[in-house]
Amino acid sequence: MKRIIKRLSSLAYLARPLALTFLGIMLLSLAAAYGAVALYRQIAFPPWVSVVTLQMLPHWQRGLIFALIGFIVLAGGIWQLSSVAVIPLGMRATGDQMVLGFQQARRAPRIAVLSGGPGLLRLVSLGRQAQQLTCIIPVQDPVEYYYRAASMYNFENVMYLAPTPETAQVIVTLSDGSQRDIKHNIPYDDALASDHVVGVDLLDEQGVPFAAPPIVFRQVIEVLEQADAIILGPGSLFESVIPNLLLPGVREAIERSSACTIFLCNLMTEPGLTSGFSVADHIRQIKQYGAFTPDYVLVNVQRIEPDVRRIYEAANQKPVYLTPEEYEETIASANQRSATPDLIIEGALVAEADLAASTYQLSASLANPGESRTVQVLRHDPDKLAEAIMAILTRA
Amino acid sequence: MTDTIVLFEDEGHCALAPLVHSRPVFELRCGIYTLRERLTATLGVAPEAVCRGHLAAVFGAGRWPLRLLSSGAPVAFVNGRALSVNWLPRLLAAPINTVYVVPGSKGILSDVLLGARLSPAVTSAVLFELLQQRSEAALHELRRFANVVEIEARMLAFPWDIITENAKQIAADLPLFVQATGAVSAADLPPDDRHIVVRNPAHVFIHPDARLDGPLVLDARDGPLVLGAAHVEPFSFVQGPAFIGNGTLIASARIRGETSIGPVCRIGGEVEASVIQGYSNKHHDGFLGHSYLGEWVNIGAMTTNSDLKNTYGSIKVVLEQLGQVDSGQIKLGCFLADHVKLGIGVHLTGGSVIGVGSNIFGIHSAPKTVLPFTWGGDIFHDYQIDRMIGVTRKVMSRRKIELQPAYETLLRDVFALTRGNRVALLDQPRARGPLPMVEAEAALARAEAEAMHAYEAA
Repeated sequence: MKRIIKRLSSLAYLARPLALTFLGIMLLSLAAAYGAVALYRQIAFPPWVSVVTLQMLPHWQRGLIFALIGFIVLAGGIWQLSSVAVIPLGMRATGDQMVLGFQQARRAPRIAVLSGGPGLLRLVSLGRQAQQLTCIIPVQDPVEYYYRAASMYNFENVMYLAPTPETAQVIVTLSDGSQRDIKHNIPYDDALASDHVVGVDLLDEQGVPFAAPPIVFRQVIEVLEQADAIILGPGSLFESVIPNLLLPGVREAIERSSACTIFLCNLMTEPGLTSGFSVADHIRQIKQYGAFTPDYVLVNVQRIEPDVRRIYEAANQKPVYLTPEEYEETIASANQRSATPDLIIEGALVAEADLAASTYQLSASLANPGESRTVQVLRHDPDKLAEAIMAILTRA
Repeated sequence: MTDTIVLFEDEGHCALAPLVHSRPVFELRCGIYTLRERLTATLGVAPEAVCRGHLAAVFGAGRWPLRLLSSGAPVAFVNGRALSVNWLPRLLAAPINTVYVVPGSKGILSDVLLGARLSPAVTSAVLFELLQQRSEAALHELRRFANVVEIEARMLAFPWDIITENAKQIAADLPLFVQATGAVSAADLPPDDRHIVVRNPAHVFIHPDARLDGPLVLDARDGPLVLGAAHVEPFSFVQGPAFIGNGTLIASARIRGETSIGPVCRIGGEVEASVIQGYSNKHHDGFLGHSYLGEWVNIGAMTTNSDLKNTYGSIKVVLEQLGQVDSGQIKLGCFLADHVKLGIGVHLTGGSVIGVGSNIFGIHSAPKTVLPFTWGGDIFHDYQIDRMIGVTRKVMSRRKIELQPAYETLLRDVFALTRGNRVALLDQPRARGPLPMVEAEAALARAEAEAMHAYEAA
């Protein structure tokens, strides 16, 4: 008996709601009974109805039988109910806590980005899905440019970090043997359109080679070491991604880090910088200057509209797709159930995805801010990019 | 390009809890101004600020203060615990990447980052740390790149520093006040009511819009007396050094020296060596001495605090995260954080600390430590936040101030952040209240019987 009382006492929280429920059911039953009686007096029912409703018996016997059945059903229901844990939503914590339906939330990833220029701003929607998105800007760029652009859009969860206390000069050696500052608009020089970079050097602000490796901020090192993902790009390969890899402190931090490294391959080649580069050529630059192979490479698979293609071709730019030769190189990850087959190129797992969007952009140059024009351009789509990166992180 | 001035909080804010649960350290009044007001008066523009996340929307530049670096100007950081900022002009004239530190002493083991003038690049590297109040880590990094200069400066370390430094700070703020407001002394412009007695008028500064109803005494013989556009009712006695803020009513009160009263307060009874942040009421009789009151505090009639132990010993204060700390002060009253409400006739012992939003009533003696958002007297409960917000809305509307959604969110965040501290209250609702009379009498009777029994047996 004690055991039964103890078990039923677990329904204490339900006493009031159950009483109200019973009352409601009783009133509804009464209404149904009135309706049934009214019908019974007006309509002639088939003979089996009188058998089911026990009309061969006196009223008190019928009532007793239904009450007995009703009581048994009710007792069974309450007994089953008492085996269910019932906790009021507003209940406060007690010593003997029971946790039901607990699901550990997955920690949002910490993401470090090595990129720069407008490409960096394409990645910020990833900030909503990250614990923190830290963008390490190119060593030659002033950090305030990025803060100014970001503050216009009220980005959240995104911080920009200069890698060194002083800015540096990035000098590239082109295939024609000339040396140029990366800031000097090489892609807009038609004479250099067919060239590409064969060497990159870092000089101090006075244009002199560093006597000692530049000091890298401890915060940069920590961000890279503690990141779950290090993303290279989107942005110009030699202007936004490679310069920071020339800093020994950054390279060593990436080497020490257990983060998944993801290289976002350019959508188009850059005249004078990456003319004629394939996906493999892009990866080889990362390996050459960063001394590591990215774990994943994301390549755009979306076909480009003819109009946009013509605009880019006029500017000596070609899309960067996987070539048939690259497809044939190696097919990997047979155990992975992914929608598209993965390839290993230059030791990196290459994944194709729809990453681009054609958009109209009001273009202005820093040299002539007042002179602006609207152009149709191909850009990494922020949402598609974020989705592809999160898919890789989930998989990794 | 003009430097961007940014106030920041460091690790030291923890020792000032619970006064800083609902406001950053640089919003604590000491002297005539809060540090933010002091900088605004000094520079002519309001400084930016970075502070704890839950305070950032109301008091700071937001949770992600990206615009701080958008101008490309050097950034000058100022520690929010600093009292005087007479070193700031020197810092602003110093080369980029200069850092001022207060050297460690007996009380403070490590150097304290007082201020820094940094390039945007270096700022980006330490902003992470300062957003999380990790100034030690920031200083550690800055030592690699910056020129570090040691200077002496007064800083708030514990809540009682607000009380002990107040007189000195009123005197230090006076020239700035005179310069910023153009106030003139009563020696140059004496009050026209002959029933107003002014002692040492050269040190009494009265705002032109102040309303003084004689008879009353303004006594600046022990220090300067600064009256904003306040209303002082007859039979009041105000002794310097003291500051009375704009819109405050002194209701026939005795305001003794070393007192600062912020704007829009209602003050009666006797107040001595205390700081009242602003928008608070102590309208009736009762003594408040060597105490700090936050904003929107209300103290009922005849509620009084002790500021001296019968043993004349130093007063100990229980501080969050630090436990009981000997203040070293013989005279010390109570610390009431923002939105505290005390009923009538409540007695507070020296060193009492009452957390944000607590509502205490119906008891003779309040416990020495009351957690934030505590409600009750004989029995203490968790103050339901919706009710507390409702009361706050009413209280603020009486002063024609609307409870802004951001501030409501702030209060709710503070409630959530301090909830863990109140778990004991939830399980032991009677633990902190006095025993009910019948139970107390029974316990006394039992003790007496046991004592008699022991005596007879002997």
